[in-house]
Amino acid sequence: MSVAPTLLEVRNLKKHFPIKKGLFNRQVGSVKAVDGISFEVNANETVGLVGESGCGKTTAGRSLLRLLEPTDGEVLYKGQDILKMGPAEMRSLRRNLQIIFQDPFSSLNPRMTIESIIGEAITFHKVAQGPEVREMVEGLLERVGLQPSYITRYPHEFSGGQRQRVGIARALALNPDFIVCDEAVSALDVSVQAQVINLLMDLQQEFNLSYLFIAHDLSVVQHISDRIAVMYLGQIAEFAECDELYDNPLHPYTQALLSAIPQPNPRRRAQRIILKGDVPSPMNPPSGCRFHTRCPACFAPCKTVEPRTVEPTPGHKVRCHLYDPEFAPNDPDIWARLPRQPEAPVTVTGDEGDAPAKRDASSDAAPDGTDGVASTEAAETAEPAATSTVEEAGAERSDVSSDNASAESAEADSAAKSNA
Amino acid sequence: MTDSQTSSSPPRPEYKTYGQIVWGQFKKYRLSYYSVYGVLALFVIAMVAPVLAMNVPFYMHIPEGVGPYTQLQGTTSFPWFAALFDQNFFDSGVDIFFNFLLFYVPVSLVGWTLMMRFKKDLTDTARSKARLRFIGIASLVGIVLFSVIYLMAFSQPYVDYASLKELEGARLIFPLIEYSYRDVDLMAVSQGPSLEHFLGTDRQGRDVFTRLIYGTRISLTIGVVAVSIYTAIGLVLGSLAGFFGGRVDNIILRMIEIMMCFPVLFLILTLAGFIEEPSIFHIMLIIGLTGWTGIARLVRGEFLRLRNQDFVQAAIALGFTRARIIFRHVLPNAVQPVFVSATFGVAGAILIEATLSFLGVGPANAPSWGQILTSGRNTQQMTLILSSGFAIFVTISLLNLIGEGLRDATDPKLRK
Amino acid sequence: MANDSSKTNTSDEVILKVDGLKTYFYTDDGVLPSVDGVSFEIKRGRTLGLVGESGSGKSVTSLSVLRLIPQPPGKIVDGQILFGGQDLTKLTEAQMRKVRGNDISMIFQEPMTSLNPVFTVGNQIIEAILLHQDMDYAEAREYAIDMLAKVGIPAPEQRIDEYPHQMSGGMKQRVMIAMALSSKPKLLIADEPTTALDVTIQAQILELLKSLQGEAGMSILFITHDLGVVAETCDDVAVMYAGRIVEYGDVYTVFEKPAHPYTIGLFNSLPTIDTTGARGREDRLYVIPGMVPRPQDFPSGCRFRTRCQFATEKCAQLPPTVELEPGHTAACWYAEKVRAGTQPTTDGSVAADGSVAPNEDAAEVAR
Repeated sequence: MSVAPTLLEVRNLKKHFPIKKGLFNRQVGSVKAVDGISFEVNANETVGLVGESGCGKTTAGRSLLRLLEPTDGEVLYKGQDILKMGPAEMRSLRRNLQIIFQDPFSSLNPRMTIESIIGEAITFHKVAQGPEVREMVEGLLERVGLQPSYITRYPHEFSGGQRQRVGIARALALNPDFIVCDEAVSALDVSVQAQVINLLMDLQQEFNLSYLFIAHDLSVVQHISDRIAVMYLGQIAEFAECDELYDNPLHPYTQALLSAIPQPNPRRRAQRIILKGDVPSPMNPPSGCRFHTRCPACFAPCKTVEPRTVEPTPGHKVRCHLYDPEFAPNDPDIWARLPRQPEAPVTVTGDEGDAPAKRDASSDAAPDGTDGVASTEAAETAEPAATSTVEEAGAERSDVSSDNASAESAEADSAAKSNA
Repeated sequence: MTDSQTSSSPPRPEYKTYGQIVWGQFKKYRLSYYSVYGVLALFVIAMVAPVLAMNVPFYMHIPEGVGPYTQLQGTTSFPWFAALFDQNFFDSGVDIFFNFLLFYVPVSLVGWTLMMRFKKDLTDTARSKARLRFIGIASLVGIVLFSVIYLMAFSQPYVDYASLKELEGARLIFPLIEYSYRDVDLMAVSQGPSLEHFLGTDRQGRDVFTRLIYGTRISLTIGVVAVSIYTAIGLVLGSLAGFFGGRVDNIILRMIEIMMCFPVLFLILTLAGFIEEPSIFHIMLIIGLTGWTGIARLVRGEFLRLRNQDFVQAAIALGFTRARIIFRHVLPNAVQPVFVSATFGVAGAILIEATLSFLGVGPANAPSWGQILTSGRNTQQMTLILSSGFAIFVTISLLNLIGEGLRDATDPKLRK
Repeated sequence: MANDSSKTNTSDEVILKVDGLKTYFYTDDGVLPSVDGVSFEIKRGRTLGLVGESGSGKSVTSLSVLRLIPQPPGKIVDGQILFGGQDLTKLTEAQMRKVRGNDISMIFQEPMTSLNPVFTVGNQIIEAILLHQDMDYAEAREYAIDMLAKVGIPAPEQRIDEYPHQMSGGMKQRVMIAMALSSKPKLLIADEPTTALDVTIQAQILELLKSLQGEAGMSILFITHDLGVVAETCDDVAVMYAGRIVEYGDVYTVFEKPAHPYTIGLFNSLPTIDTTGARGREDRLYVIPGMVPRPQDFPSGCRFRTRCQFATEKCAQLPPTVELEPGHTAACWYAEKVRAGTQPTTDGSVAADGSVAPNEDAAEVAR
């Protein structure tokens, strides 16, 4: 998979929705739906994007297609930044980037026949003219497993699964090479869901497609994806190859998420990791690591310092202090609280030394690991603990990673405010 | 996927369009469905008013040397047909228009029937498409023809045909009722109902029944034109606000809010007060210019809702232009509640006209129902008040029933 | 739900027995047999999972038990619903009101819409308590706080005075559970209680239901489309298809030795996370061809026959309900054979003869 060229690269993509109030629409804050995510999709590859509702996965999918105008970041399609394109240039590029939606009922225009729903794009982009269009539409319908004679029907004549197939045919009409599947099978029944998943996988082989497969159902994502990104509150918590992620999840959130999936096997009523509390509001995300309010292995720097993305093994990225050589705790208690022990020894790529040494070296950066843990059980809302160690840690970190610096100072600001 | 059940049951040949579904639903609301025929009947009455009541004979023969009009002596003529387009006789464009329809609508219907006789094997969908095209072409031709006729400004000198009736040897065939709505008879002022005048006469001695029939034209015209004006304004402003959002939305919303600060009736009264002798065109314009806020807000809301629908997002993702998205994808889905609101609006506009007439700022010269009502009140004549009041009541009830049926038929939550 | 640990609370006392229930809907499109001869029973302290895809009639069944079917167009045309010895179908509306929310409680799928937004959650719980129990307001409030604490709501004294919009989805579902359990019902009907919730929140709620059942010893009728949830929570399972129960039995037996082609197809079309390695995304999922028929298109005889790979002419006749083992039944002419052809695993592998997974997409287009 790594041999394939990179088709689409997302760098530090952000989408903040302003919250406006009052007579003059003063901006009083923002919902940081997507807050700096980076990943890449190779040719003929499926990247899964999973997370719970409100984690920003749908916003991410729509922002990188510019269905929502992103706040910041870069989206490189074959090396070109599509966020910098003018309207006309963007319109013609859209032929290559398509999307399949979740709701099969709202995704098709109720006033148009199947022929015009699928054929409109073909005519508009002058791919074909006249009777050829009808032939193409019939061919597409056949390919997605619908009868070509359905061409004169209206969407309301169809069941959910059939509508979803029409949506897929529409996306295929312009022969794209990248498709965002936004919860494409979530609304379907189990038996129909299997049909659509198989169809998507067949089409990928046939048309050499790349997918960004957005879903909340981890078993579906696992089935279809090559690599998977786990999102939590607007950020990517972990990004790894499919097998690696499921066999050896590193981030505590991924571990909890995986264990929470009910297995259709009554003998395997697993000892689950039940996460405490709810997902915090993206309007006011917790300081430091966004997961620290629910994390069973939270330790001192988690509350105050935003974690970096590290790569303990090649291709396996995780945004967690536990695996960051600078912060990784020495205290075995913290590791013991982790729901699932990582299989491989934690090594850090490219740098000197091995893991234990690292932990030793970083122990002074996290002086009292036990201090922050006590409150994790009850913590439902973020309580920015602004102690003197916070400032120290923040100051230390700011020179380490430049791309986090701005976020850091903002964090420090808010901490200072709440202190005052 | 192909459903295996269809192989066993015979395949349904035709699939309903969205409009057909709504119509099928609408038919289930019996009262509303019959109201459509009621309104059609009102329209037919408005059209055939000159056949029912006019003081010009269909056929006239005056012998040589008889009567005051020398140019008519010894001639046989059909003055009724000429008078229909006589702008001296019918001084209002509305009347000329309905007179024109009196000929044009039957001709079109015959044309359509003949066309269908040659194309019998059409499917339902093809037929409804052909019908739409025919209506479009026919309306266009009609508008051109009417404009030509109206601009020719045909007129002829006034002749008192009623007096010719008494002449010896003269033969005149009149419509059922030999009065015209402007026909002042000072010998028969403020009469009660009689065989001569079914509903009596008003203070100027005009036949009330005739005025009531012609009043149908005025009411329907005011309703339809005023609502068309404000629907057009509302659609444009609402679409702009809803689709572009941001500053455009802000400006239009403020405009709406400012408009809504004024009570509409008082605004209309004030505006009407500025016009010295308001005609029905003034009234239509005033209602049209003040009533658009509701439609604009409705369309804006629909646009905001539809803009986030996935099929609009899909249209953006397919690289369509903005104009295409607005006109092909958003607007057709947004107009449905506008239709409903417009139906209620027609009823409302008729009521506003009646109110204005009642308050004395209406179109004083038009035979509108409101004017009849007012004159009845001034002279304490119950027949005038009751007859015009009944006409207003029936028309508004019919329109409201249609509106309610339409609203329920288009609301998926109320599907029967 | 009460597996291993809480066996003490289960007994052989039958709490609810539904026998031959038929609920039809009389519409413009004809008579729709949404529920057509459904029978099952729930013993004290046990959980029955009612599984099926949308349109299988599982929700209509649960609403029929509480007699909450909108009437017209719906009507319970036949069958018995025996609850504590009395037939619920024969009760008057007034008597039924006493049963609802008292002996039988229900929680719904949408916690967002089940609570009235203009009252505090406390108001709504207290109202329910006062309605069914002999308490004054102060006692009821005290009891409501107890209940909220029991369902794991932190700081219940404060949260009782909050409005629903101030709570998250998971919290609202907890409130709904507190409300449903406040009357100490003998039977709880849970209609897709976790479908609208996230995986991690779902885990919390399922855990909560399990522990509460252990304490109170109530029975649960658990309606869901998620086989994983059934495996985690239920003691018995009834698989519904097109208004009928096609397979019924102990959860271990049904999951390990399914005997109805539909149940097998359902298991196999499920993408599962297999942590033992040996998974490849090149694997195609098994697919049940076609789709769930609409009620007006239900085929005669076995309703699954139009999608079934084993179907023969015989299937046009109503299949018998075969008892394969004590308590394990399947409504299929070939239940024994089908079961024999199945490997006792549920991890997506198909029957040994290999005919199970045809290339359904190609087959469909050809049809």
